[in-house]
Amino acid sequence: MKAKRILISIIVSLVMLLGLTPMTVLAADSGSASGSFTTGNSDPTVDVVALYESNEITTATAMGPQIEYAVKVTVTDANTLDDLSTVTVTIFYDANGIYDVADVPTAGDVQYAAILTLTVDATPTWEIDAVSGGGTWSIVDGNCKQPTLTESTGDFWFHFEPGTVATETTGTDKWHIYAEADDLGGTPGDNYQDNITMNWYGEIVVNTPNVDWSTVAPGSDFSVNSQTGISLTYIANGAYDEQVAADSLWTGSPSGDATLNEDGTPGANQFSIKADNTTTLPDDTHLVKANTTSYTTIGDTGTQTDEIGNTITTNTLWLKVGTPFTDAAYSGTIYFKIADGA
Amino acid sequence: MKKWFSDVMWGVARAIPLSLLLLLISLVVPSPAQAQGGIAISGSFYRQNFEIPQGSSVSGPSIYVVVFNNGSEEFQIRMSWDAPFGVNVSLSDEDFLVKPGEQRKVFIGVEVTPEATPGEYTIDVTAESYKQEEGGILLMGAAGQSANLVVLGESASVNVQTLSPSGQPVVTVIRLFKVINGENFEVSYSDNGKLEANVSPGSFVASSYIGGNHMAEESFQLAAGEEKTVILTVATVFFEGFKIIPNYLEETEELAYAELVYTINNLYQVFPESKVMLQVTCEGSSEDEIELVTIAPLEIGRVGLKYNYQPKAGWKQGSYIFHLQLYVEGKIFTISHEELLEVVVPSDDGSNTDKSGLQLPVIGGIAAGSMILLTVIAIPVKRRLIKGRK
Repeated sequence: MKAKRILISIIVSLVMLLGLTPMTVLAADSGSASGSFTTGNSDPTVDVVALYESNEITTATAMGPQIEYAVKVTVTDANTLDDLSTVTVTIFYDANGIYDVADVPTAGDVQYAAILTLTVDATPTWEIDAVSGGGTWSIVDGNCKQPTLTESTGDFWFHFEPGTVATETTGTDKWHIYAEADDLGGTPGDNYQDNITMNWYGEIVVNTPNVDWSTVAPGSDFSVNSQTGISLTYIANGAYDEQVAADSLWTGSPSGDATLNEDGTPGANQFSIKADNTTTLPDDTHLVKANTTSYTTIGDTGTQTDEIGNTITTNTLWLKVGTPFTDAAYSGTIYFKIADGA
Repeated sequence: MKKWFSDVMWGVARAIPLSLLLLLISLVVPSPAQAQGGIAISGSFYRQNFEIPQGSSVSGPSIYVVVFNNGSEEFQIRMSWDAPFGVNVSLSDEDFLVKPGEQRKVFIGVEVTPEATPGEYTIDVTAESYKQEEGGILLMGAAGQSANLVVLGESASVNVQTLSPSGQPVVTVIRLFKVINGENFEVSYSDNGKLEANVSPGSFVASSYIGGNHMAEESFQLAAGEEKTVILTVATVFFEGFKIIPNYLEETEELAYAELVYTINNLYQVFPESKVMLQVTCEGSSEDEIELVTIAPLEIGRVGLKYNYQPKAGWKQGSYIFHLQLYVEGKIFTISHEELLEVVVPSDDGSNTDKSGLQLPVIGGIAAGSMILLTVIAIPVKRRLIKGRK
């Protein structure tokens, strides 16, 4: 009986003692624990923001309009990645080239910014903000990827194409990429890659497909053989030049050839051409050369356009024909070129 | 007869200009009107400041143009270039078809032969659209870029290799850039872990990559006539996303344990065995050294791992610093960055102290010991009781 009392006393004492003791201590250095805990929300971190070529292998320090690139955003969320709500990538132009989080824009612009947003979910949603004024920026959602969401660290891949008039960088100005991961539980994690160059982009649309000097006489000069009203549209994200060249040999039908004379002094079966973006006959510096030689610049003051482009309808060609000329119908090509400007 | 002949000659003479006029009327037959535009170009070629010694060449994946067909009809593209005597331009594609909405990337290399004359030049690359089965005088679009070239008479050579921390060759992509006015211009490229190049003197950066991951980089100078070997040491296994999450007791809000979350990223090869060690310091003094896990084998790719840590001696008030070490073949292969955990230990009266942190494990130890003691005592006592009843 006495022993039973002693036993009960010991048990009661231990129960009281254990009631004061948290269970966690049993896991002191075992790497495990039990009991009631509050697991703090761990704010996500963006560990890496890096621009890649679309192959996701080659890193890139420059972008070009209408070319697909991939931004890798490596995110860690200790509560695992399915805790994330959104991952956002903002690609933006910075005139002074010095990254500052305060410079990150909140809206897209065809020349200066685009915002890509991933809504993290088992079925992810990839979006690009409605870019005002145009729509050649794009997110290539078919190539975008999110990592396994049950992991704590993973790579999010945003594939996109810059718009046609995303501003070319020419000096200290740069583009930056800012990424933010938000789990709606505290402070979003963010990071960036700065100092990205944007390459020049130039596009030309020849709205006038051909010309017809229908009544040219042999030996006639430039001044009497003009073809004006040639419409060209230039689209560029920076300075551009307007240039012209021609095939050196025009083919006659049923037979015969006519040769381009680059000096403005055509002889037998030769012709010369002058070109300009106005209707005023220019000097000999505007003589058209063979495309195998070089292009003649007819304008060097082009600047960044909008996505619709700059249409010039006053482009003019002047033809000078040598004499004599073989009886034939001739065909050839004249090339209007857009080139990077200074 | 004379008059007849004269009349005929007069008619012929009048007819010649008319014939020529008629000839030229038929000279330019227009084809049906259609838009021919929409050719565009972008790329990095125009940004290059080529500085190439005689007898050398420059190429790399970052030197290219991209040609676009943004029109509504397909057309052929003919690539052409214009360079000074002794300079050759190589194009990865020279004549190709592009359909509406398609684009083509054309890589460009520049070779300066020994015959080239040192000096400053411009190189033009042009993409011309054309059609073969059209008549008349067609107007077509073209787009191009120009780059600067300096041909130099002096050179230097560099040999770049990538090695593992243990000195073994590692197959990586090596890219060699010349630094001009703070901007990197690619001059050479290799994908086998070795790169040899004959370059112009100046400042350079050599970078290595595995699977697109930037592994190592070194900047260096090369003087005229200098031959240099550059070793890039690459850690092909590394820690990612190492973080500490404090977990607190709900009732007392005391720190219970720290959850360590980390990922091992192995980019290159399978290792038979690897081991992760945890090093912990508190206020600068070593607190713990724990083997967290042995991974055999360590496969290529990512492994996400966790560990719940409590100090053997209980939490103290102060700054805990954690870092991880990865051992491969008995040697430290890589270490993680340091993670900081500030621990504040509340006292019994609610104020902060460094004592109560010790109490939990001590009490726990007492409790556990008591449980064992109870069991030891209880079993014989119970046996006696049962025996007594019998």
